[in-house]
Amino acid sequence: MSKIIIGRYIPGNSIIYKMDPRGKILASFLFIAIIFLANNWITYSILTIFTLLAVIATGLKPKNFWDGVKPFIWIIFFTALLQLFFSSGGKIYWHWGIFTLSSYGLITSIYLFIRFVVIILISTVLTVTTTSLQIADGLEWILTPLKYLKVPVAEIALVMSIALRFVPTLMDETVKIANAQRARGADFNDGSLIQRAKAVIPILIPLFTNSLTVALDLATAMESRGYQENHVRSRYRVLKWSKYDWLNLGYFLLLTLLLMVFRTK
Amino acid sequence: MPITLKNVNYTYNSNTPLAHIALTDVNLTIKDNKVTALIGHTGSGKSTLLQLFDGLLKPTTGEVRVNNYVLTSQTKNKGLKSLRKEVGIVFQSPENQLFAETVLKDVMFGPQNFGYSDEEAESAAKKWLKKVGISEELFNRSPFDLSGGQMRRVAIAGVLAYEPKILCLDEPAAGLDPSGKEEILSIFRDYQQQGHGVILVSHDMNDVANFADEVVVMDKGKVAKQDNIHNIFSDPSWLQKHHLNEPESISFSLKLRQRGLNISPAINVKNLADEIIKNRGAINE
Repeated sequence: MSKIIIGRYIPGNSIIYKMDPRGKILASFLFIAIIFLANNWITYSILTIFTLLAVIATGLKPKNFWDGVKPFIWIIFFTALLQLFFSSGGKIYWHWGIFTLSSYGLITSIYLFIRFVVIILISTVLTVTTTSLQIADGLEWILTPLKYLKVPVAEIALVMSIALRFVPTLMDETVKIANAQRARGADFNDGSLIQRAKAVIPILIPLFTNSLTVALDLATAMESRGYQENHVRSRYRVLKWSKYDWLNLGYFLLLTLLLMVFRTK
Repeated sequence: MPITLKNVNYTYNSNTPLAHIALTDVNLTIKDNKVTALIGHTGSGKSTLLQLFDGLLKPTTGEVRVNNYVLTSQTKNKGLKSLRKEVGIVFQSPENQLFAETVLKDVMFGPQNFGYSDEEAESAAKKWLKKVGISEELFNRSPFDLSGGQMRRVAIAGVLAYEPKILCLDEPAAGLDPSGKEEILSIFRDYQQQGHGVILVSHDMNDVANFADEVVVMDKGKVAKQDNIHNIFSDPSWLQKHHLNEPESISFSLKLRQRGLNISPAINVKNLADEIIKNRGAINE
């Protein structure tokens, strides 16, 4: 559990940390869209180089990123293998029943592998360098246009910040409850699948009731501090667009341009 | 059934960027059939120590011996259940662990896990619910309908019901009103007098002075001192150095001494009263 790096912030002090979360989120979205522009080995190399440069720019240890990719490695291999053996075209090297090993399949599976890895790397770059509160603030700004469609953006943002604030608290609470039940003899790693599923009940029920209690207490505390629904509130955390963010967007626009130039029709 | 710790170190999240050292080189023997209090500043390693006693945590290095069980970093989780039957832990705010649909079923959870038959579990649950002061008409109510203090009692009964040989208590009286506190502590005192070991983690020095026989002082993950309560509390300046206070009766008796009364430091209110009565003559003058 503690090994999963995606969604976890690692403090650091490189240039990417100084960037505005809005720019980083937009760049990540853009990146996922333009990945599909790549369709030959030149564009894929450009993609890989740009991704690796972004990873290096975080100034974090490579091990952190390896931890990010590791949980997905089996999915990646599985999809790449499917691609490898079930596509035909080009030169056929080997054929047996429904399995075919062709030059086309080989190349597409390599491309697929690269595509997976770069998406995971870029999203890891976003999440390890940005605190969850920053991400919530950035998303709120990005969602602002939805106000014109009567979407309660401010409330959604509040819900997001509260949810993110309580993730670590609830994690701690879960560990505590699980320990208390283990001390009373509960066994979570033994028995059949059904027994194990049943063993979760002594954790889930207290967790639910505690969360509801916390929600009620928090709501009362917010109200007593003058919070009212549908009132315009000022904001304390202000996002600032700096020269680093132009650099960030410029970097990904350059990547888009290069991909468009070098892709084959 | 004493607990012995030999050169125990414990590090949370070891080998990650989030590593945090909680215990360094702890050597300790906790006698059975006594009330031992673990005291120390917040973050001094008391709760970590408790979780080592029943194998919820395993020492990073060193070994923990409880009866015939030896826990090292290599110990497997299998087989720890029988240890957990002998070492019961009442965690901080234990009311947060209630889950069953009725009070009775919740208390039966522990005994059932430890191999009691349903009838045995039920009679044990009823016995201990009565002992902690829960009346019979509440047995079939949902634990979530009870008051905070009643929930605490039910949770405590849930641990007592399988009669662990060593009972570990992490701030059992925190947040209770004065009479509730006294009642709960006297239940634990009775339990100890029936021949069980009780280990108490507490911030309240008055509780410790009233209740404990022996005290272990923790500071920054190390054992600073282990002694009986009289010796521990006799030196207020030493306690202050380790971010602890003395019980109120001690500070009061020291104030009386400053006024010229020949009073020895009193560990609790009863002691203090005895000392004052002894000095009645001097006071009247």
